[in-house]
Formats: sequence, structure tokens, C-alpha cells
Amino acid sequence: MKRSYRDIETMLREHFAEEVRLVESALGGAAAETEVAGRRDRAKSKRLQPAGRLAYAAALALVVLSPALMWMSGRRSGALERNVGRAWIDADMPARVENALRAASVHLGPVGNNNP
Amino acid sequence: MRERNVQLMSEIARYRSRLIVYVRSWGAPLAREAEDVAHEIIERAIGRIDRFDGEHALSTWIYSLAGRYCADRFRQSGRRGRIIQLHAPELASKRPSRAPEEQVERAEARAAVNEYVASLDRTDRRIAFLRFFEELTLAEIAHAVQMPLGTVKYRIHVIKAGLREQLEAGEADQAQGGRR
Repeated sequence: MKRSYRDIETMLREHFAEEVRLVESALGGAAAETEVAGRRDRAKSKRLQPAGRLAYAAALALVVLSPALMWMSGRRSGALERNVGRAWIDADMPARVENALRAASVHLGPVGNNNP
Repeated sequence: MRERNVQLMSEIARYRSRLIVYVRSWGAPLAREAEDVAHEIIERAIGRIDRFDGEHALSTWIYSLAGRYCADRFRQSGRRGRIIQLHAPELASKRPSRAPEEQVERAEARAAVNEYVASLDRTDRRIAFLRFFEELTLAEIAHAVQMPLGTVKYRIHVIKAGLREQLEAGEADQAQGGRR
């Protein structure tokens, strides 16, 4: 059968078009495969190891509980100071003041007697 | 200018699969290697986007750049790879069904074209690709492959005549086999 050059050109066109289509489909498959693998890797990397999980839980607990602990400790120490202060003022004030004044006068000397 | 470059870049990126086929004709028998080289060409084209002056079509510019890149690359490696033809039975099977005789005839013709294109030398294969797939003009092909216009014209004629001869020879062989 005698083929025209037009037929020959068509056959060559079909050949190259098929070759490009084949490459495109191969690239599409490879791209999809890479995407799935990447997604799997990303999911895996997001998952924590047991030691990491423990550290994460400890850090989280510290963050959550630290304001409460600080508040409680502040409250307790404040109460103690208040109580101690009050007791110090109520019970021992005169004696302590006297002692303090005495100690100051010993150290500084009697006020007003610097130039006899 | 920036908008133009962005648009050109997206157009260049679409040449990926075509460039793989084009690069294979330079002696990159491994698909993976052809893919890498095509990627490098795209990167280079994007890097030199400012040099594209619009005097020629974008495809001519890219294939011209690809030609120079492949010439350097495969000269350095001294590669003279044989081109391995791709086969696509899965694509062929998706076509509309025809009469069995016609299907056989078409499959045989396709195999003959595959064989013929694989037997072409690298330059002819590139010219055939640019002419019959990209449908560049003769002047554009001449610019892309850095050859005189007359030579390109002659090579295309030789390619077509060669395929016609091969197909006719194959049919004559079959006819003789059928008579025996």
C-alpha cells in the first residue's frame, strides 16, 4: 500500500504524542507516589517517641500547675509573715525596741554627749 | 516585566515532559537521567529568563537552550547511548475498539514507527520531534538545532521518505509471507 506523506506525518505525530503522554503519565504516577510518601513521613515525624512524650507531659504539667503553685506558696508565705509580724509587734515590741535603742546608743554613744 | 517573567516561568515549567522526550534523543537512555537533565534545563531557562527577548517563540528558545545544554552535558560524559523506545500498551488499550484486522494493522504500523524512530540518529530524531510534535516552522527548527534551513528541510524529507520505505518494505514482507 502506497502511503502519502500526510499519513507518514500523522504517524510520526502520533508516535511523539504517545511518547510524551507516556512520560507525563509516568511523571504523574511518580509525583503522586512521592506526595503520599512525603505525607506519610511528615505524619511519622510529627508523632513523638515515648521519651519525648514524657518530657512533653512534664513540661505541660509544669506550665499548667506553676501559677497555681506560685499562688499557693505566695499565699502561705504571706500568711506566715503576717502572723509572725503581728506576734512580733504584739508581744515583744517594747522589749525589742528597747534592746534596739540600747544597742544603737552603745554603738553611737549617747546622743547629745559628743562634746562634753 | 515581573509579571511577564512569572508567566514565562509557568509556561517553561509545562515543558517538562516534552523536554524529557527531547533529552532522550541526546543519548540519555535512562528515564531518570533524562528527567534530571530536563529539570536542569528548566532551571537554567528560568535563571536566564531575562535574556528571552521574544524575537523567537518560547519553544524555539527553550529547545535551542536545551540543545546547547545537552551538547555540553553529553560531550563531557562522552555518552553515545542507544535510545530505548518506550512502549505504552496501557495507552493503546484505552483507544476505541476497531475491527481486529485494523487493530493488528495499526499495532504493526506503530511498532514499525517505534523501531524506525529508535533507529534515527540523534539529530534526525530531534528534528522529527520538533517538527512533528512541537510543530515548529523550518526556520525555528534551524535556529533550535543550529543548522542551515536547507539542511533541516532536507533532513525532514529524508526522515519521511525513510519511514515510508520501511513501512512499505514491512508490508511487502508480510504479503510474501502470506502467499507462502
